[in-house]
Amino acid sequence: MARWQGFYDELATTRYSAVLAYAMALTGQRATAEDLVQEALVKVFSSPRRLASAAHAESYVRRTIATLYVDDARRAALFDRTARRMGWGEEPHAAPPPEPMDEIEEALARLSPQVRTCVVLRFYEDLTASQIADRLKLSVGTVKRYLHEASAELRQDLGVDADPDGGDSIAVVSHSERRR
Amino acid sequence: MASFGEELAIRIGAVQRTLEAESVEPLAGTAQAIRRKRAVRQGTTAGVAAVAAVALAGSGAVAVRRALDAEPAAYYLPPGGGDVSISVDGPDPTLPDIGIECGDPAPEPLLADDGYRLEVTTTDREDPFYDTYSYLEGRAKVTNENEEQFPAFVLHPDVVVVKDGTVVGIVPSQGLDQRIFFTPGRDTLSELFGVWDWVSCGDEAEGERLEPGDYEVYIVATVANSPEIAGLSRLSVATYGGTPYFNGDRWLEPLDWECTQGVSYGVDAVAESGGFYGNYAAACLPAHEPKAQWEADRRAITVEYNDGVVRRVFETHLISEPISHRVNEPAESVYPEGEPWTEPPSDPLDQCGADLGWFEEPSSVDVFSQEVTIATLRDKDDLDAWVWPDFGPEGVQSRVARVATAPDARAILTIQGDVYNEELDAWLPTSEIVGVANVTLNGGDDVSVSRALGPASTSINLSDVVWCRRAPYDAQLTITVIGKQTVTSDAGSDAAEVWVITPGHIL
Repeated sequence: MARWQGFYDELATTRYSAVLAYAMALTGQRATAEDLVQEALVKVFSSPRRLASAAHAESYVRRTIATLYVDDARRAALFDRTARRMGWGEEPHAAPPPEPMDEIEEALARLSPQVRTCVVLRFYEDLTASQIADRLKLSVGTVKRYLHEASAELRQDLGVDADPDGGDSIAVVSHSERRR
Repeated sequence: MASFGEELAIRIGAVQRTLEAESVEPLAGTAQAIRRKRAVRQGTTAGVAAVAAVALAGSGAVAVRRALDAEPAAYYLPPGGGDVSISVDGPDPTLPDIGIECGDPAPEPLLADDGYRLEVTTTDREDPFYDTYSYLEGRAKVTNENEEQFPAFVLHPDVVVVKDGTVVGIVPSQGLDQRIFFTPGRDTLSELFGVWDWVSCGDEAEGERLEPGDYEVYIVATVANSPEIAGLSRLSVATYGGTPYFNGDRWLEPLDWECTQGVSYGVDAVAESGGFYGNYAAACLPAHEPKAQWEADRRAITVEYNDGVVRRVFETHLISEPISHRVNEPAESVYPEGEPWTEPPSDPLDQCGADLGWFEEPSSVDVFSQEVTIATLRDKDDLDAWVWPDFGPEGVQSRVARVATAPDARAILTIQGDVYNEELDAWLPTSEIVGVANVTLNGGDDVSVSRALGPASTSINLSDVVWCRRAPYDAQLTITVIGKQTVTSDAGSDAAEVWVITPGHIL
């Protein structure tokens, strides 16, 4: 068996659900997340990059998922703008039917893909703004702007305090807690 | 009260457990897509794989041992050689794809693989030069330890620069820069590498400067062979060591002067013409190698490869242990350039012996003359010269152009001099003013230049020459002409207020 195949099988068998859950946190949509993970798997495992282990491969897959998602969002936004300008009729990237969501999912779903990705990388992966900028090939200023924008939205939706320049200081207060 | 990060982690964990309960798997076809893409990347398309299988059947036990790799990392070509077609708009096949990008974690060292072993030595760093200029250089030596002997090339190494565990820059490989390859009896090949404080990331062609600090450098040596590499290595012989220029240059045609100069005079002559700086446009290839075909419609070249140069098709990357590399604050230039002038000196003769300096934006038209010496000018006023506009994607984007200059333009005559700078304790180069004259190019008429015919032969007339007293008799002159020069072509016109006549010859 080829070296990559062994790592792929291990990842597909034992870690696929974790990777898919991560992608769903970004996309908010299972179908989109499945497509995204597939694209990332193909990209990582078909690259000449030498993989040391399944865990090594998983770290690349996760990074690739975030990058692809932001790139796809950029392309979609550009296509939509062009389509509207050219009068091509209906927007081609209509959102699929909504899936049931909890408070956090709803709050994240209201953010743009780029902003949502920055939030997940910042607060789930605990990356700094500079590290997020490197990973997504954005400027640090843009990432800070996205995080600032996110914190304003999340403060409104979840009743949290936020400081994108500081540590993980977005504290969640649920609706039920707020009602008390 | 959980933090947002904690809530997010809990939420993702819950989704993960739900998915685990469903026993989710990657979408159908994912593994097949990976295999297909790997095969395409490594050149193992279905058709070639079939050819490889036939070749393996007839090439004995050694080849079968390689085939047992199962992974399509390598395959064998049938004997006899053949032709290979290469798109000039695609990637350069001689540039390795090491799969490492800026932002990646530091690579894992891999000193031996696929029967090859890498040893890296760096140059003695005792010389203060290396500290002053933040320069690291060395040699990547690859040893072939395969029992089976087959031709292979060691490509120029990539240099991966790492800071705090993350790749922050890459000095990319120059590809195939020599035509020496492993053959039976030759078991080691080495390539020089070097890294300053400039690296590139992503698509930035210009590169960027590394911040001062301590870095780790990994040398990635690539051993490879393919019909494309073998075919292009053949061309590198025909082109005096230069490799074809893969920018899809649409301004050259096979019989253009620059192409024929490449054949006749080699890289240096072409580089002097302000052309490709040592490389060749793909469109020139038939001029270099008669067996190379240029297909303009497909924008592809077809080159022949020899089975004595390639049998096994593969690409193996070896990665060195990290090497420490300190980048210092950029050193100040030993030769301060000063500020360029935008207005010429009002009376240059008042400044005899002084440094003229340099004009900010002179014309890009090359005007050469072998006769611009003081000795010649004392015998005659009309000098032979050649005119060649800067044709190409970055210059005059046309196949013909017309160069017009104002007659009797005022010119400043200079010679290359030097002056001692006490502060730097060094002799600095200068353009010493030695006289003035009036200059007329081509009798005041326009000069027509065709890219197919090469530099236009013409004449320069110098009148009213006034010398400074101490001008050396046999010195070569550079003539800076203060007068309008306009280049007109199909692509429009471009004018400059200053143009220069350079001593020497264009051929």
